[in-house]
Formats: sequence, structure tokens, C-alpha cells
Amino acid sequence: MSATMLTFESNDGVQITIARDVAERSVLIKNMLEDLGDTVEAIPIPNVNEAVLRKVIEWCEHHKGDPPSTGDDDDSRRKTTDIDEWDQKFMQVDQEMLFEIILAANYLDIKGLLDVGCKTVANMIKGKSPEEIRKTFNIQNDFTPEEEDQIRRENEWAEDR
Amino acid sequence: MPSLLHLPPDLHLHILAYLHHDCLALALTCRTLYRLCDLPTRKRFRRVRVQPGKNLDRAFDLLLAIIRRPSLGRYVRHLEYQGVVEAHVPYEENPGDREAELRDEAGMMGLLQAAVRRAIGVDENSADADADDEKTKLAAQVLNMLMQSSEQRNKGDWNYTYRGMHGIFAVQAVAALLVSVAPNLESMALVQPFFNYTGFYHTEGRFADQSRVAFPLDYVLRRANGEGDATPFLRQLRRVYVINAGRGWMDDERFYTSMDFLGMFALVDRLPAIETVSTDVLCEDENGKSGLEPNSSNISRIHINHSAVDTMYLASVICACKSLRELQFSLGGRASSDGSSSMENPKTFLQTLLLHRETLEVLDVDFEANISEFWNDDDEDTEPDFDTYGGRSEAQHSWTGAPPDELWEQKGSLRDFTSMTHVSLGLKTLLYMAKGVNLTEPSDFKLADHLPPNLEYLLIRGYERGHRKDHDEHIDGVLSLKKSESSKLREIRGIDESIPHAEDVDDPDDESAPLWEWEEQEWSEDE
Repeated sequence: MSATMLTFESNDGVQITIARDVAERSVLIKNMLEDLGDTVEAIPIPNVNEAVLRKVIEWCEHHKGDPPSTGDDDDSRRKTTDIDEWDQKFMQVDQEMLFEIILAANYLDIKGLLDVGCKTVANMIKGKSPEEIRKTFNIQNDFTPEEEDQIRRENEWAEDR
Repeated sequence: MPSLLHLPPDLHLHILAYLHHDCLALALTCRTLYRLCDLPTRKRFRRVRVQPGKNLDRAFDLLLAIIRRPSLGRYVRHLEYQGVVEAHVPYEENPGDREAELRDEAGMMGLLQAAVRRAIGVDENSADADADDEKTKLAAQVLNMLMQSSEQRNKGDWNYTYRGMHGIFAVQAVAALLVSVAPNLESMALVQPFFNYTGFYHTEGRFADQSRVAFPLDYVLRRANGEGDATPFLRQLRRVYVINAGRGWMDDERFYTSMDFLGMFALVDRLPAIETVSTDVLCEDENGKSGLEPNSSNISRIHINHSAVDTMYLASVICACKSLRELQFSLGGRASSDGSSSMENPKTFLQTLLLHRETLEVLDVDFEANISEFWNDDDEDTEPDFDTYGGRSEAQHSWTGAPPDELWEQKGSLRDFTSMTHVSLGLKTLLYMAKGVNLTEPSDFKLADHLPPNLEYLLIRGYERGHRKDHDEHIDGVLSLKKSESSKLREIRGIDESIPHAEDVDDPDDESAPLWEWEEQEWSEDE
């Protein structure tokens, strides 16, 4: 009998039990379970702490009925930054958590969550000036004013809308 | 602590894929992000020009680069296509001079073939074997066209009409493929990519069994514009400029140039993001498409400048729009080849615009020089003329096809255009449109009381102070309107400095004649 509930252990030692179909939103875990067969032991998730793991699980719970991701990988299709309302709310977290979620989604191979995370970051960049972007992401300007001028001059074309 | 700068490179690229216009700002933040944004590559792919001759090689190289690395296709924003189709000649497959080199690159032919089949829409699992067979055949032809450099097929003993025709197939194939691999393509400038002089629009009589030659660019545009076919490209195309520079073998650059502008609509008018279609020096192509289906087009901004088309022709274009937001039309810049001038009718024109009274924001029309009823100042009743010449009673015989009947039921005036913020018109046209059609004329008409309620900008052509007292009074009224707090009117032009109407060029042989010329965009060496 294949287990319907699975237990995971975050890197700070907390065990969380969830339904198998929720866990299988992660391609990493899905493949692991196929190799492992049935297991009753807690599965360690070494790169992810409890708080982040709980967020990731919350997302997977909400999206467990979603169809498997379609060919959004296709580079020849346009990518849009539209995010549905639930996901937008879900992503209203501090920046550290946002990047933790993105890294966890990348590690666990949860395509939908990774896309939403990256779109959220893209939306934080859109329409901002360089200075505003620096401020948003705490980036140190390491250009000299002359260099900055030169880049602007050489790339006036990029201002075209 | 994780941060934007410390994400792994593949995640940076993932985020960048969602950013289309913000790369410069991001690149300017710091060195790390500057390198990541790769502006030089973006610049190289941003605009692509596809034209016959040596320059085709460059476009072809860009195409190959995208086929090898599809994400580069996202950088392409603008495509210019030059290559007039001068004859209706079936394509003959021939060995191509590019083929040997392409076969040397492992996997390249397979990738190209897959790209062609995707562009043409060959459905690998189709149940309709016949339709699929036709597409498979076309795909094989297009692949063969790609194998030819533009020069190769120009050799040989074609007669003068066909000279260069086979080069055009190669140019079209490259353009078609580029369009199909550039999902962010926003604008195109192109010459008419199809040939309509052999009864293209006649489905009866001796033209009935004439099979159409499928020109690849024409084909992919029609395919993407076709109903219900969610092609994976051209979904972001917003602006189309139809190049009408008169470079065909018989055209003379001193005259307006006939072009199947209405026929071009079938290539782009139903694309989901399309907004603006523009052209210049247009006169009607009598072998072109006659009329457009009313309320069928997603185009909302139309610019037809330096052109000589009748109001009835404009009506056809305007009625086709589901919702019109901007209209620019002007005469001048060329001479008419037969000495006639386009027939402009402000009544028909206003009634046509009234179909879009809720959406039209910008109206810039400079055709008053061709309204003979406005030439003198005797103010006789113009209505009988406007109902006749280029008006309702002639509509059924219009070459361009009769506009919908509801047009003639329209009544109203400029005041009914609730979204309109910008108006540029000749003075008498402005007064006529402010008074309106099918309304009871107020005994004490004042222009200032009949302007669009949200007007911000007004440009008046052909006004000279002191010429007519009643006109001066209307203008003074508008000037005080501008000063009043309740009005949104912020700028008025053409009062202190008279702005003349555009006119057809009288004598094109006069060296000082103000002939309009297409300003080609400048292209730097690295693009």
C-alpha cells in the first residue's frame, strides 16, 4: 500500500506531515519517491528551514489540483508577469522570505512556485529607476558617474517603448 | 541571507525573461546586473531588417542564432521587411547555395525544419490529412527558400517582369521565420507582401481556378491573424507601418502611390495586441480589396498621412474598427497622377466618426483643401452637395464598398465625443463638425459651446485674424474658454500664427515642390 501521508524534516529539525499528492507538486520529491518506494521514515529536506517549508507546503496545498505545468519553458513564447490574486497575496512576504521561497522552489523543482516567485521579483523591478531598484534590493552602486553616463549614452535605444 | 544579487545565474535569467523594457534601468544599478543584462546582444537583435541583396545574409545569420538559442528571439522588437512582390510566379524548388554549410552544422537542418513547420503550422497529429499535406508541402518549399541567398535566384533568364522574383521568396522566408521566433515583436514596417494584380479578389470568371502563390511572410501573417488560430507568435504586435515608398518598377516617386492598404488589414487587423496601422502617400489601388467588414478590426489608431483617398475610403477603414481611438489623415506631399483630387466630404466623415463617439481621443485631419464647398466665403447651403458628392446618395456605387446603413442615421456634433482630448482641423471643418449633422441648428451658434467636453488641445488650420468677423468671434470665444477654470483646454495653436492646409503638390516637376519622402530609420553598423 502506498502511503497517503508523508513526513518531511526541515533543516532545523522540525517534522511536518502532509498528503502525498501535495508533496508531489515537487518534482524532486516525486522522483525521489519513485526511487525510494514506500517509506514511513521522515524525509530530510536539508536546504530548507521550517518557516520556508511551511510556506512552500501552503502553496502546494492550494495548487494541488493544478494541471501539470505546460510548456511555459518554451523560449519562443512570450512571458507575462500576470499573477493570480491568491498567489499575489501569498507572495506578500519580506524580501528574505521571497528569495528563500524562490531558492526552495528551485531546489525542490516546483515550477509553478518558481515562476510566481520570479514574476514577483520582476514586478518589483518594472517601471523603476536604477536608484529605486538599488534601494529596493539594497544594491551598492559600484559604477563611477562617468561609467554610468557612458552606459546611458550607448544604450539610448533601450529607452524606446 | 539571500538577496537579488546572490541568486544563482539561472534564476537571474529566469527573472530577466519577464522584463522587457526595464533592462537598462536594471543594468545601471551595478556591475553584476550590468553584465547579466547583456545590453550589446539585446541591441543586436532589437531591430531586424530583412531586404533583398547582401543585407539578407545578416538577417539570416540572426535567424540562425535564434534557432540555435531560442531565448535570443525574445530580444527582437521591431522587424522591417522590404521586398516588393512584383509578379505572380509559382515557386520552383532548386538546390540552394546555403545548404552545404548548414548541413555541416550538426542538427541545424533538423532545427530549421522544425522551425519552418512550426511557423507554417504543420500539425504533426492532424486528422485532416489533406490540409496537412498542403502545409507539409508548403513547409518543404519554405525550407528550400531559406537555402537560397537572395542573389542566387536573381540570376537566370527571367523576363523583365519576373526578374528578382525568386530572390523575394528567400527574403520572405527569412522574414516569416524571424516573425515566428520573436514572441515579443511589437512593431513592423513592411511593404505589401502579396501580389493582388491578377484578380486576387475575384473568385469568379477566369480567375476562379487561379491558385494563389503562398508567399511565406504573407502566409504567416494571415495565419496569425486568422480566426481561432492561436499561433504562438505575433501576439504582441502593436504597430504596423505599411511602407508605401513607391519603389515598385512602375512607380514614380513624385506621385501618390496605389497600394492595397485595405488588403493589408487581412494580415494584422485581428491580432490581439494590434493598435496602430499607418501609411503614407496612399492612393486607392483599384485592383485592391474593396471595402472592409464593419466592426471587425482590433485596430484602434489609424494614421494615413500625405495621402489622396476619398472620405468614403476612410469611412471603410473607420467603420471596420471595433473601437477607434485615434485618427490622423492628411493630404499633400505628392501630386495626383491624373490631375484629380480626392473627394472629401465632412458630413460623411462626421457621421462615420460618430460611430466612435465614445472612444475617439485624438482627431487630426487635414483635408479641407479638397472640400470645394469651403473654398469661398459665401456660406451657401452645403448640405445638398454633401449629401451627393461622396455622400449618402453615392455610397451604393462606391468603389470601396458601401458603408453600413447605420452610418447615415448618425446625428450629433463634436460635443458628443466624450473621450476626445486632441483636435486638429481646418477652421471650416471644425465649425461644420461643431454645428453637427442632423441636428436643429442653434440660432446663436458659438464654437466654444460645441467643442468636446474634455478637450485639452486644439489646433486650427487655415485661420487668419481679420479675414472674417464671425470667425474672429468664434476664436475669441474659444480663447476665453481656455482661460476659464472649468475648461480642460490647455493649448490652442493656429491663432497667432496661421497654419496652412496641406495640399496636393501641383507641379511635381517644380524642384521646390514639397515632396514627401519616407525617412528611413538609421541603422548602426552593429545592428
